[in-house]
Amino acid sequence: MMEALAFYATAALILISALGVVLCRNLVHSAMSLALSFLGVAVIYILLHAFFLFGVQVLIYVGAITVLIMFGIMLTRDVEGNLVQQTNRQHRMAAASALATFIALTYIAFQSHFNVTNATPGDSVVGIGVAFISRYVVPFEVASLVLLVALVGAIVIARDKEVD
Amino acid sequence: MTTATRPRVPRGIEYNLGFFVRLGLLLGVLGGIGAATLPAIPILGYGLLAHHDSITSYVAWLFGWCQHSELVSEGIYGCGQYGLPVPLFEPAVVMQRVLGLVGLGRPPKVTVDYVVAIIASLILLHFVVISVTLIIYILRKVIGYMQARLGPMRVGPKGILQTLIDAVKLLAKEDTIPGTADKVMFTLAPVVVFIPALLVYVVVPFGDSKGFIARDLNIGILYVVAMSSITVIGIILAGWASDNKYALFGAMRAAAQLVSYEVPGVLVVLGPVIMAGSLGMRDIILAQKGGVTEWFIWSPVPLVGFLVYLISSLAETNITPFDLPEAESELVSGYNVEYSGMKFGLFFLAEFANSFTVCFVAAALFLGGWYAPPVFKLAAGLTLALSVGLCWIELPFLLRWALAASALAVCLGMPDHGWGSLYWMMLKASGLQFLTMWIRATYPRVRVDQLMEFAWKGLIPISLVYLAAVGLWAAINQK
Amino acid sequence: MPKTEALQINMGPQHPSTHGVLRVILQVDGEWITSAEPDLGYLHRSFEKLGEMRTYINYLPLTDRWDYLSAMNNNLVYVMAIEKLLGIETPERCQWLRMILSELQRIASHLVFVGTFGLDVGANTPFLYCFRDREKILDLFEEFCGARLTYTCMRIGGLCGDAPDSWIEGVENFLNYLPPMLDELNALLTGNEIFIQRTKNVGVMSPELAISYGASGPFLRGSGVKFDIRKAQPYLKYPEVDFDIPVAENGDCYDRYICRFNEMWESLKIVRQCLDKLPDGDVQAKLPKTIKPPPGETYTCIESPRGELGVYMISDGTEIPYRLKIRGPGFVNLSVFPELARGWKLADVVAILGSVDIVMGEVDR
Repeated sequence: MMEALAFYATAALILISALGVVLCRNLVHSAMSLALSFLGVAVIYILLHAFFLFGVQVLIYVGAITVLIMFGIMLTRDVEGNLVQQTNRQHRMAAASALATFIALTYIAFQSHFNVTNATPGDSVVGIGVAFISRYVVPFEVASLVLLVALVGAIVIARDKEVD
Repeated sequence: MTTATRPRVPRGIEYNLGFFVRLGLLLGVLGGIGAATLPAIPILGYGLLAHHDSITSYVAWLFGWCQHSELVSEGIYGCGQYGLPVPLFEPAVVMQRVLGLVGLGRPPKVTVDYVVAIIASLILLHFVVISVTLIIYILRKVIGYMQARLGPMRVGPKGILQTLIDAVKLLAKEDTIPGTADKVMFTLAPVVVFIPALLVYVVVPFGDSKGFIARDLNIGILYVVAMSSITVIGIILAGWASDNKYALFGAMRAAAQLVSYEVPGVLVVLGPVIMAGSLGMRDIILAQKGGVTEWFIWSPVPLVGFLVYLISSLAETNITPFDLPEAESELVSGYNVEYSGMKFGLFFLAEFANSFTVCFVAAALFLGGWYAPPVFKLAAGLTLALSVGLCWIELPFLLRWALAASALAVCLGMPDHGWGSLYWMMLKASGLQFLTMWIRATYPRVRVDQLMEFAWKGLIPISLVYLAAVGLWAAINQK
Repeated sequence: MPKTEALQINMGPQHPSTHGVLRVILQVDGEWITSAEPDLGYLHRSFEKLGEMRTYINYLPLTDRWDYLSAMNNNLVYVMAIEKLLGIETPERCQWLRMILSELQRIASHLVFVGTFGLDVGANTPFLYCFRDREKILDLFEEFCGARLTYTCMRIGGLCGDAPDSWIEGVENFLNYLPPMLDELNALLTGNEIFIQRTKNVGVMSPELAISYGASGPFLRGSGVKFDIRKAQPYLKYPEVDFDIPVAENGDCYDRYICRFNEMWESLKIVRQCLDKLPDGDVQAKLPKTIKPPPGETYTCIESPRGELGVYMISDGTEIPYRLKIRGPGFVNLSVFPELARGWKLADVVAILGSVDIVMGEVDR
């Protein structure tokens, strides 16, 4: 019972903060709501007994990606005047297609069979590590290659023009 | 030189409504904490009268010789796993003792867990607040003595009440928010900086039993690192919400420093994790059992990991030589320039709490945690006596003799049932904290580009090599 | 294409690192300084105008306030100028004592420099050690003439009084006390890796630039120019004393710091020789009843801890000078600062300004 309560509370938190991201007029407020929704997702991971994912979610999403977004906001705008325009001319069309997508997704979600089990996963850290090395080694290596390329690209773009 | 009489310090605190509101809140919170934890004393006293017929059996029960007490039965309310005292955090036993003393039966386990979690968090809050108060005082005294001066001397005997009065002074200050600043974010920033500093204490192992760690999460060290990374958001928010371009520059610099130094810190922390085979803090310490030679500061690669962790954690907690974000003599002011009063106080509370956490984590990961050299009791007593002796002049009369008596007790080998592990853990953490204070007093400040260069071109390659070396060693030794 | 624009930052008169009320207007492009203009005058107290309104004797206490960290030297140059106009020779003992006082003052001033330079770079502890050692010197001065900062110790034709034997002993004790303290400061600051990184190759000044601006003192000698007024145009008894002039080659902040630090060692040597050679006798020469120098003009200069401190005095035969011009070393040295700061990073400005070692009292007069 307590777990159900925790789940619903966390889901409410995630949804409300996600709404906050899109509805806030101030960009920095949106960024903070985004951080809050990341934290909510991290709590969901705890409820699913995926503790390693919880730690990594907080570390990467809340700790690094939110920082990245805030740097992006603060360095590309004036310090004041972050107000965003909420709607544009296409908002009716956008609402209609969003509703259609929502209906489609809900239908698919209710139609599919989820394998629900009460078993708790074992020590997730070891399992994830082994999986990285054995079964998912190619995606793992490709992901690290992508990160390396991104890092090198960032340094090349950000270098001062005064190169000897 | 003529000796003048002590000048009368003028009382300049402005007593107005805001001051009393804040003071009331502070006293309320402290009172609440006290109310939650201090009733243990009369309850235990009641237990003495009600359930034991002699001091011996009461003390036996108190120190965890559970099998002699009739209050504990087997099953889900069994004794702590290690047979050691579980004074603080082990939910079932503590709760059962408390409730059993007042005559109630066994409550459902769920309620026990939640109630004891609340008590545990209150105890952690207590610990953090009191330890930070002491650390700030000791910092000022230690730096003062290193600089050929005395440090705080006026407020209270030998200046002991200085931090408390500074906290009251901060409460009394006018709580200014810049007119064009974003009020919500401005108030939120110190909170976002302070809360993770407090959260990390949940996994810090204070001693040898399951009762000495609030929750031994199996992702212990990952949790520590994750919570430390939330602080960066608070700092950027503080710089932005101040609506001051210099504060924003300072915040950006601080964020760059924190993010850069997280990387070698985390990489190096993985060394002990590989050696111990687990992310949990207790497991890492247990893997260092067996004497000083087993400590991870020596075993795979001597000293590199410890030093890199120490340096990167100095940078993470903004301690000189990396205290650029709060430097006064630098040109661009820091992120907390528009903050006054208790918000400013929260930033500093967070900084000192973080620095103490880092010392605990370093002691757990590299210095063998609570494991003590074999001649434990004599050594513990001698170190206690030495620290008492060094502070003899500074300590008031009763405290001197109380500490001397406890040193004697420890030397004589009275049973400690795990409390000695608490002492050793605190000793190592305090020793590292003293080391950071020493570094703070000695070194000049590193320039911001030298700082970044040092992190990216110096520490990260070293930590990568260290990690590779540890991994290789572990792989070889696993056969 | 994103455009960056230059930002103007005001390092205001109130700042922990400007060593007095100095305002520096910085134009910054990203992290790089494009221009650094000092805005002077915040401590201007019209000393030169006051010199035309006070008699020679009445003006003497005001000389302490030019460069208040080395007041003995201010007194010295002023009374030397008047003695030159009057044509008076001071007695031997007076000259040796003046040398001792002047060199002790040099040590005190350089201790303040070392302490505050460390503070600018972020080291908090050497500051307190330097001030603790400086207290000993100030105690000696207090014993001699009754004041710790603004002494009015040198009088026209002599000193304010003679030195008792206990004072001579005090100076001897101090000479034995200071060397281990200087070694400790050396270990703490000079050899410190972070300090070296902050100051080496920062704010490099070529000797041609320094000479063209008229820089003097350790500021000049740090760039390799071996020019010291005590050797080039000696005064008092400097020709009879054996000492070295520390000179460094690169002209960066570190070298200027090293020059001043080593000057402390040389001053200790000088004081020791003065104590050995100190004769007995009078300390005050015979003066006429009123000080009315014959009409004439003179320029007298000495080597103060900051450089060439000079006084250009025109007398018209009355008791009041016709013109008193003060050549402050800090003012001239500070004029090189915009050239030095350009092209460095924001964080280096504080170190470069600290290495110029200015005292606003003599910059603004």
